[in-house]
Amino acid sequence: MRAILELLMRAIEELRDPWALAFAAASAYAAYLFGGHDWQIVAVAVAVLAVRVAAGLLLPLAPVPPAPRLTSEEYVIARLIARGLTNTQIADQLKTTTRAIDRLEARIGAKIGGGRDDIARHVGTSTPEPQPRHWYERTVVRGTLAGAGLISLMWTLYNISIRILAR
Amino acid sequence: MTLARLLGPTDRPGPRTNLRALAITAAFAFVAVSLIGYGNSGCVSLVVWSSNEKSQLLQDIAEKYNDTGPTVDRRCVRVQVSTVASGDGEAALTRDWSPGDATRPDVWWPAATTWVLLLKEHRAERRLSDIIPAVYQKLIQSPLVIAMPEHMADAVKSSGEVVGWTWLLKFAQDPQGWSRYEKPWGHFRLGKTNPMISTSGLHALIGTYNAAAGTTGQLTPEDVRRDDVRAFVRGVERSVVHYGESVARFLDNLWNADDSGDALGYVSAVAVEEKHVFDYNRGNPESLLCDPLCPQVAPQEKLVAFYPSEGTLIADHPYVILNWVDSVHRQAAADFQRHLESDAIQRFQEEGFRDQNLSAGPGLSTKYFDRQPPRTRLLLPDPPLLAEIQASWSSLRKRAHVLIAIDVGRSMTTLAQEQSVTKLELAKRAASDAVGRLEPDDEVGLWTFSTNGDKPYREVLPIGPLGTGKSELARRIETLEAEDGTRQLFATVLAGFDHVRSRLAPDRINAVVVLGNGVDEGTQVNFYDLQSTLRRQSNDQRVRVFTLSYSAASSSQLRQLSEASPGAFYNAADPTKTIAKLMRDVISNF
Repeated sequence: MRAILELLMRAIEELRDPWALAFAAASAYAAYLFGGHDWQIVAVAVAVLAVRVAAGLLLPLAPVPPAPRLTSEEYVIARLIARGLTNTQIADQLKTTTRAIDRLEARIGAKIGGGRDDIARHVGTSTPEPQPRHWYERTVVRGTLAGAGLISLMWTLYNISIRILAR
Repeated sequence: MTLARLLGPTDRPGPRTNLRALAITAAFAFVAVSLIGYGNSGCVSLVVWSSNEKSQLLQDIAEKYNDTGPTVDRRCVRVQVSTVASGDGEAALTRDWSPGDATRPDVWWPAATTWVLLLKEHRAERRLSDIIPAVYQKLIQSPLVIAMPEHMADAVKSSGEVVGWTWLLKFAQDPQGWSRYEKPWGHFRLGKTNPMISTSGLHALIGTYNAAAGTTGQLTPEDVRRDDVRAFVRGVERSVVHYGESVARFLDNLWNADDSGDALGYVSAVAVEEKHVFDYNRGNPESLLCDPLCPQVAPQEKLVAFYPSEGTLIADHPYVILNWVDSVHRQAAADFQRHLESDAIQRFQEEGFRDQNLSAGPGLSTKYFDRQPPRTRLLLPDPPLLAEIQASWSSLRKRAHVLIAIDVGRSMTTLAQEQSVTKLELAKRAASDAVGRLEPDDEVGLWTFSTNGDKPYREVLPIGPLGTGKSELARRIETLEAEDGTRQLFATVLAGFDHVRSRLAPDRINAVVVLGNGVDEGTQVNFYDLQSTLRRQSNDQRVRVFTLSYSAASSSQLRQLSEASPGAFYNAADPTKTIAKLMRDVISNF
């Protein structure tokens, strides 16, 4: 029971791909354009989603190596570096010595594997994080937009081709 | 709550793009859509069965319609018109068709609602599903008329008599014939077609029944079963020259007679539709397409249409979208119907049809036609009675006095085209089929030729009534075998002709039917002498020769013999015609 539930959860996880939704919509529309029966239109959309789920389950992505964990002290320094402050300015702000900051910077650099620019990229800029949206909202919105794009592309190609064929 | 937990945290990071899975999905989507596109790439083909007289015109209209690129549900539509005589269509539709059959019609466009009612009745009798929709549109119309050659029409008109079915019977039974009008044209001769196949024939039969019962309202079963009514109908049938399986065949014979200057000798009146008269008068007896010239020149002796005084029936051409079609075909059929009603209706009017309001087109000139709608329109009887009337014909029709001559020469043992049986076997089947269609009091005899005896033919069974059993003749046909003699075709035809003539039955249709395969192989009889003997018969005592050819070689001789008498020629070498259907056509003449 639990195994089935887990498989289901993984399947739903695969469906979070907006492109799956976009392909399904575009295929259904293309089937409609080519004069498919109603059942064929529905079936092709469902089949595309099913193939995306199956392919995702059979060919999973390689797991991402865990991100290096910075201590809270290191994280504060990294953020300040990302903001573009020099080590002296940071030391002033934190009422400590520049040498201490230099040492911390070297430790962060070793953890991340890179210089000051990499540190900035790792912790992001100072701009506020966007409000988190729910994942399914994100999937549906992006999928619909992409699907609409594919459909308009299809419509254009269809019209061009029938005009060529009619000549 | 549980769902929220199942779906996970709100701010999970966006999924990473799984490029391999997406590539597979995209490839699958492409293949699946291509397959759907391929599967639906063929056009929707709409099979329309049309009756003879409008079929070529309709084919032309359909071709032009196809060129406009009609679509239904984004699929192209191709209209295919097949020529199926109304009665044949009715007979073919009384069985169930498999949905996969590409020749199964989607639309049936017979010449008259009469056939639709008959089909409904016949299918109900056989407990088959109803394939006729509750509503169907009648698109074009053509009333049944009594058509007479112009000179005869003038003679009748100047006498001031009113032409109708009653007049017809009186005139037909008058032994004076045309001398009543001081004209030298002999007896009154009526041309009619077989009511089992032809709309004109069926409508003429109903019209005669109406006249006999003296009613313009609906016929009742009591009317139809009355003895005096039956006697009246039998009387009208007796004046028939010979029946044709179609109006086209009949008018073609008339045109040939006209060509040799004897139109008045062939027939005095024919019961046909107005459209047929229009076509005949412009040199198009078979209602083909005049584009812009008609297949033949206009006849010398035009036909004049009389609208029976008792009222007439109207061929109203119902466009029947059969119930068994799917929604795509139904839409396609409806779209084609709209095209016929709007754009094409003028075309039909120009070709001699009337529109839904019975208003005539420019072609129906006042010289030969009455442009006004017929004053009285006879009502069709109820379907069961209609079927009874149609069935009654075989017992009321003029009887046959016929000799069948079958070629049994060695060449008949060759295999027939595209069939795995010998020609002789086919001929035997045809003959048995013919016997089955005749009535017990029809008189039939059987000869064979290309035999070894001293005479050019051998008498297998002398001419005599078939009798109720029909078994003797059928058994004789069954035992026929091929022989090695020389084929003395002309001598056989002449001997058969003389034989029938020597015992001529004036109240029957006298005929010789020849089933032949190959040319004459040297007899003493000259072909041209034989032709002129057949041609120069007295009109009141004619023996007609009907020929059926099994090989291309013999076609021309047999055709000329049949045209001389004049009877009709049927080509069994044409693989599109089944032998059973041909024989049915031959037998329709009796």
